[in-house]
Amino acid sequence: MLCAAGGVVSGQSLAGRWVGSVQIPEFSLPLVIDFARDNAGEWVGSAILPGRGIKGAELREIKVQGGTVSFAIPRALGGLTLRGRMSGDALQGEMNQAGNAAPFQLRREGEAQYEPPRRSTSIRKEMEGEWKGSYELLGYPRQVTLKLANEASGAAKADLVIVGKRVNQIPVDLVILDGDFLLLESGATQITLELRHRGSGLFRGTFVQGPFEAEVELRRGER
Amino acid sequence: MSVQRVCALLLVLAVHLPAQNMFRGGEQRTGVLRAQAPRQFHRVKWRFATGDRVASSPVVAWGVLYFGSDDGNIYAVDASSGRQKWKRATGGPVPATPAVVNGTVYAGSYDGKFYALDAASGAVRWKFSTEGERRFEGKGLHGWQPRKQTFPDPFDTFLSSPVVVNGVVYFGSGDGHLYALDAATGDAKWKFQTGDVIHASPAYANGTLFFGSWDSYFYAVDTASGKEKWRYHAGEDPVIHNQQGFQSSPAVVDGVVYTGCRDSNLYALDAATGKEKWKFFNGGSWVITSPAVVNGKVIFGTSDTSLFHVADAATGKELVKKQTKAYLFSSPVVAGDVVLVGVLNGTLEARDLETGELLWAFHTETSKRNAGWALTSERKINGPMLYPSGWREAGPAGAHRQFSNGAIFSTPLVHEGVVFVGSNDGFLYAIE
Repeated sequence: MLCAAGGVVSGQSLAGRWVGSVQIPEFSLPLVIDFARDNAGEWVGSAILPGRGIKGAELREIKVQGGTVSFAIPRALGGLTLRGRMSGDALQGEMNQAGNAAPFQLRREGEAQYEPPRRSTSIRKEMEGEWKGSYELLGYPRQVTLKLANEASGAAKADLVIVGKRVNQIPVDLVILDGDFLLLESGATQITLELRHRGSGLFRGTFVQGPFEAEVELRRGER
Repeated sequence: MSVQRVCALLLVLAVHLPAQNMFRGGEQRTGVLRAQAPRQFHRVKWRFATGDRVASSPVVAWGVLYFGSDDGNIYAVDASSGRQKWKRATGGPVPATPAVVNGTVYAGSYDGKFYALDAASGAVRWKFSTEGERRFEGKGLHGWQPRKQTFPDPFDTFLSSPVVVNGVVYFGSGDGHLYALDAATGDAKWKFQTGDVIHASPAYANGTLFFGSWDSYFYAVDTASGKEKWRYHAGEDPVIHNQQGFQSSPAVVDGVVYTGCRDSNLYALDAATGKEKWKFFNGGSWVITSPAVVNGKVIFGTSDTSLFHVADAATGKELVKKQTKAYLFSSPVVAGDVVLVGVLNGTLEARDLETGELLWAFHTETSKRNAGWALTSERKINGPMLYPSGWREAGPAGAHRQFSNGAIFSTPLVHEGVVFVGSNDGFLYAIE
């Protein structure tokens, strides 16, 4: 039986900071993993890949069975899965990426410095509903329709549609309100909307996609 | 058929089929070789080691292969044995394909000089200094950041290969000029200025040179006067400079010029007027490969979409489309009923000319080692491992890792049933 919430397996705890590397052919990939338990006693974790621009990537599907540990890092290098065996302060096994497999070795180095993933926040009531606007990129106009709502969990969700030469439904992963600043992020498209609520039915801000930036203005549509 | 008739037929073929002493088989750059490629892979006959990447494509004359290496040398290697006959050092990498005419080897180098060497000994007959080589570059190139930073383009992998016609050698340069030099003395006859780097190789037909520049124009220039006959304006990309410029070398057949472009089109232009006859759009994917033209068909490949295309030469209508596993920068050549093309995942593919079906594939040893997981387990380009970031040196460094994995940029050559091709692992391979 998998003991995802068990915490201690065979007298060993997974908790801590684990530091080591993956031995990819002709290349050593440094890896830092933090395992901790959340308030419900479930295993949570985050990953750092030094030199790869990855800090605090969320661990998913953490499973512990006997001395075997497996987990995934979906937002690192196109998706990583690791499966290994823990023995005291050593954890070693195999990492998979894009169908390739290579051995990894990690050693525990002190307490976990777990970094919780960013989560969507709630938004203010007057921000809910439909917003419409446009921006211009490379000489072409784009029409934007944004629908914002708070879900039962308290976190906001966003439906974003951008119409240029074709209709693009943009999957939004994060909606974060900080004061009057509203941030929307889409990991799949690398699109970010950084908006400031100006009151009286107006958002102004910036559309960003990689090196492309454009000013955008959204006005209240249907509630 | 009598022996005499066979001999006569062979003589006719020898006269009418292109030679193999210049890039793409000859001055019209049709990509059609005077040879039959094997329809089955048997073995690597030999491989010749150089000190760096071999993006140059081999040519052959009198049983000797000539090619350049990024180790700075121009090589002459016996085609039968794979033994070096001579090497001649230049002052920079040589990712250009030589031309061999009348006992002289002509090739440019990244040192900004153009060399004429004795084909038998490698001795320098003359060398000519251009205004200097450089790679195409742009601010925020390919979306790399910072946006105001100028990046040299690591995908600008080749130098212009010369065409030699009627005692004059023509080639493009990173200084933006197309040069015409006396082939015997190296004296300049004229130079034609464009707005940016010329690393595509000029093609020749009926007193006219055809070539593209990274300034987004394709040119037709009179060989006698060096004057422009016409120019064609292709796509531009003023923000990230990704969708612009001619890196593909043209083919000229029956009054039509065929050329790929980084604006993701393959163009068919009227050779007399420059008027567009048709264009084949590839959805944002570069056409770096130089098209091969045979039997009313145009054969070319794409980069990001990694497609092998055969289109009708008259209409541009697609006839065959096959998926390869990685970018195509190497140009397809037709050798009998086989099409050969290199792939950036370190594969040499042989395809049936009629159907486009894969006949056989050869993988370089370096690519099989898959250093740094540059490839997925399916031998596709492993983008997340290569390009984890678009900032500062990450883009060029990712391209370096991608190219260092035994990638094949070189265009294959077939001679006496043996396939010769260079690889970025530093070897020239002989495959039969």
